[in-house]
Amino acid sequence: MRIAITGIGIISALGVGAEANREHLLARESAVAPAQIMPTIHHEWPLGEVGLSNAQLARLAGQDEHKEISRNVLLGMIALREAITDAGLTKEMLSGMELVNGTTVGGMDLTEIHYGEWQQGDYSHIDTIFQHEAGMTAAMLQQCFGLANSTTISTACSSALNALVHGVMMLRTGVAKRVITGGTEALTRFHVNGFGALGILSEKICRPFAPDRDGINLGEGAAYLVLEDAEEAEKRGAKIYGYVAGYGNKCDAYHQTASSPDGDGAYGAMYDALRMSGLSAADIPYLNAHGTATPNNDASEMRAIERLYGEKLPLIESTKPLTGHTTSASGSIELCFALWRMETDNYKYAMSNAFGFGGNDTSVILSREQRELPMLPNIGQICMTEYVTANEDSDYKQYIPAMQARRMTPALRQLVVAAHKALEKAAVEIPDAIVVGTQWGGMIPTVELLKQLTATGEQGISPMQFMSSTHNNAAGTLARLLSCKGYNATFSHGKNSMSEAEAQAALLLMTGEAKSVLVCGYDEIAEGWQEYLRQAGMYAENIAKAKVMVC
Amino acid sequence: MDNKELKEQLKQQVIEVLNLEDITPADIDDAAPLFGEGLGLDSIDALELLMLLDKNYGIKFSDRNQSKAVFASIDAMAAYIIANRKK
Repeated sequence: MRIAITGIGIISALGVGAEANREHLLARESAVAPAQIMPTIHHEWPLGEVGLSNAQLARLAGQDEHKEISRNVLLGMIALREAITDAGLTKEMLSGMELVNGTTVGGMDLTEIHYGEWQQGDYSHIDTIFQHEAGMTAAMLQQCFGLANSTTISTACSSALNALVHGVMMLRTGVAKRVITGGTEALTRFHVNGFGALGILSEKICRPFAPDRDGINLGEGAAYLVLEDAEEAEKRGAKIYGYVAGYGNKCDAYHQTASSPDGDGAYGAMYDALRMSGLSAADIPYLNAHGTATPNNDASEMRAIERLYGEKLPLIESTKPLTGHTTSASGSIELCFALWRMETDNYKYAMSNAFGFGGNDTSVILSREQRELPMLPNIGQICMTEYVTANEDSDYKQYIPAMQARRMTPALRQLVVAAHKALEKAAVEIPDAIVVGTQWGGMIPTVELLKQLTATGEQGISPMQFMSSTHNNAAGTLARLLSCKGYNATFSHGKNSMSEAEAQAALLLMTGEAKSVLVCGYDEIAEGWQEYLRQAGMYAENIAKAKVMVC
Repeated sequence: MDNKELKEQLKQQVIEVLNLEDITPADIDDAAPLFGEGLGLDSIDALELLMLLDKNYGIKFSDRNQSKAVFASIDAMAAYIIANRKK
């Protein structure tokens, strides 16, 4: 089967739309500069901002500029509309299609504006709490464009590339004939201060792979790609930009934020993508690297590239000095860039990397010419255990070393217990893959950071809490504790998060990418937050449950 | 506050900020290394300790690498605080 890319929509610091982005990319013009749009005291860290206010974005997106809509959704709307128009999708086609979105911040920009009011008992803007959830971004985009369905993957900085991989799996298994995949991420004070607390932001334009590199510039944007079964695309006479020739996702299972010295996860992801494509490394002359310009990432990624390529390296490019690191959107934004490089520099193939916290590493290979993906294996019947739950009395100490447990919330500790019990029940020692569903993500550290941010006015938040606040912290923690270096993903799509995780596990089994998958559900109640949710007619639950699916 | 009291207070603060749940001040040897083989702390803990020094003692580092020697042990941290504290 061939997977065709038939539509592109993009917005980044380089501009609005494919034409502007392509022009500035090829000219290698950096749009990274001190903050002008986002209200912050941190002008020492230059950013890759989309140079438009929320009101201007709302007008571009055809929305009422007086309504409070998260910047994340506005960026997503603009890129998504372009992708839909570019692919020539009709209303009727859209009504049968799914959006696979990657994001982590959700409506954090609105939450950080209003959090102080909620603390004071002023709930006049409590409605914005609806948009806080990562999954609500996709739900709003789905509604805006009349799509049949949506889902959300949140694996930090590899989110958008994992969304694309999920879309490809849907096509390969025949679950869909065409899908829209990609990601959106707006700059927020929350994560700018979080990355700052981790000491990994540069005060200059970032210098990936350079000996004197000293950190990241954060950026924002959104990009979507329409993927189709190539036969369907040809039938309707769609223009085809290129083909997806292979993909891989591996977990480094090393540290909450740092990459391993040997780049095991990165190597595994690129290796898997290559193996699926049937190509050898020497066939792929261009690599759009993750290349964040932290000393750690670039050393680890370069080690992985050298392991894969040997002496003769490809052209390695990081486009992050141009756009900044657009975190959850970087995977799809940089895949567009790889596509354009492939076209203008006349490469037959290109590879693009996106790596996230928790060592969530993803690689995708593109081909200009038609390229078949491998046939699906015959897998037999899928079997699963019942869900195993764990409660507050569960003894986690036999499963979690004290130095790791100290950075885990009670719900996360319980999840580890439930996971071990489910694996014992299924007689699986180390699963091939881990998929987690969580509606809210790490809500206890998130609320702690919101309190610190509000109280100190951006003067120092806890790095430990920040790295525990990402939605995929649970999946990464499980991978580390279980030594599971296989596929790893987190779905955060409201009350459907668990069922979306189960659906992903089924896709992994159907495509033969895993023979055993640990599926987990996890959520936690955070003090204060529960009351704000109640004010908006919502609630959160403590959930820690796990099951194993095998074939 | 004398050196001994400061070290006691510092150990309490380190335990609290790093969530060292099963460790008491008595478990921490004044001269033992905090990172690597001693307590086994990592680079994220170092960032938390930088925040602790800023918040509780008004000590800021312009170059984070400078702080490495300061975090060698509780003894080293206490000596640095006595010489450089702003509050």
